[in-house]
Amino acid sequence: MRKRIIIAVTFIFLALAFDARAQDEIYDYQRAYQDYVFVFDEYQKAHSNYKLTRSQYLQAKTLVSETQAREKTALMLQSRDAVIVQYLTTIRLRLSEAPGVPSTVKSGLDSRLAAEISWFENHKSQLSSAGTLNDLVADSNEASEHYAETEKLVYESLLAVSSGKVTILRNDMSNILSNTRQKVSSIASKGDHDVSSAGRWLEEIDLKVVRSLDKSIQAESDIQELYGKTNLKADKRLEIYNSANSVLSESQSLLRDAINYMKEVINSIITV
Amino acid sequence: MKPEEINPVQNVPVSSQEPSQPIAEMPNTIQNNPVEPVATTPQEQIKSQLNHVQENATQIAHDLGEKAKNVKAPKLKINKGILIAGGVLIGFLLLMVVMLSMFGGIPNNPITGPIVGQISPTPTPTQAPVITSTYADDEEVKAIIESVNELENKLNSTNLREDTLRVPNVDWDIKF
Repeated sequence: MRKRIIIAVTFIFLALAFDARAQDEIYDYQRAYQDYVFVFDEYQKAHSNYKLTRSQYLQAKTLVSETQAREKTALMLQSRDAVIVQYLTTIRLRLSEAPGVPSTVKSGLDSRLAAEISWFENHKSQLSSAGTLNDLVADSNEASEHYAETEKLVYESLLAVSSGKVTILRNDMSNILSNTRQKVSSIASKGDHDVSSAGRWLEEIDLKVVRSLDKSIQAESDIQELYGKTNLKADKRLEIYNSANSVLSESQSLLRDAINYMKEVINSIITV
Repeated sequence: MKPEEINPVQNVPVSSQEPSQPIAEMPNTIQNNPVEPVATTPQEQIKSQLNHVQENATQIAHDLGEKAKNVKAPKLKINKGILIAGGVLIGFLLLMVVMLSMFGGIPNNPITGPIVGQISPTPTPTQAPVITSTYADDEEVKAIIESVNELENKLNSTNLREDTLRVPNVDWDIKF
């Protein structure tokens, strides 16, 4: 008997220890975001050093200052690539945890984000202080041009996360609408309470929910405008993203109207 | 005949006899005023001039006062008929007011109007009494109410934009 108790306690202890270790190894969105903040701070320090050595080199134009500038520039570019890699990783984890996003959309965006992460990791590994300053400038321009396309994927992913939130709210509204319709039908069949006005309100609520869905679809369509044009500047890309977000906000606003209408339905049921 | 007296100041013999020719009349302002000492310094000159101006102003005011006493107000001629007619009209109006107050139209209490500074409370509308139906205590209806409130809270607290994940502000413009 004593042996069985010892074995059971040992087993429970091991299970708890394994669970704790597993939790420590879980790399979720929160952990990724903290790492992103840290990596960004490191980049800012490297960028400050780069600015300093660059100005010294431009003033002195000596071999020593050029070597210093080359080393600090390479470090800064590596740090910049690290920021992009960590940022894309954070978005990837955020997307994986976001509710309401269809699985097909999630998997498609996830694979494209993984490809971008690989590209910047590869670019970072190729940076070397052995090259000339012109080589480093060329490497930087290559990353800059590639990032213009990467940012489109970033905006599309962020909009998908936001759209998922609206989808959840709309699903909740649809469930409430369905339950209320059943209840109103039940009351109408009994004939002991007038629910004619409730029926009209329910029709209006249905229209609001349908329009909310239309707005969400329109927002997801608007974001695709990013890919329809080439050489889009950063401010134009942001403008398209903001515009799509505005449409999504309208979708949420329609659900607020539906909630207010639902209160009227309830009022007509509980009062004479 | 008295011996001539010599003015010790002016060394001019002073005659005790009155002059045969009368002295030319001097202006009143000067003749009535006592003899002032001669002003030598600029301040004294200015002071004497100011005194002359003050004396002139005083005299002018005195003359105006004399003239005002002689002015008489014109007499108002009021027609007696008009006076009587006006009095009858006012009396008739007063009688009408009294009649109206006695038999309606004008309240007895005088119209005071709002007193400045005093704020009267806004009358609150009295709501009609709400009659609840038999379904007010229905469990399914209560569940719907609860889910509606829950969804409303979620709608109000949900922030659509992922503001914590804005694109990083890095320097892409590298050149030497």
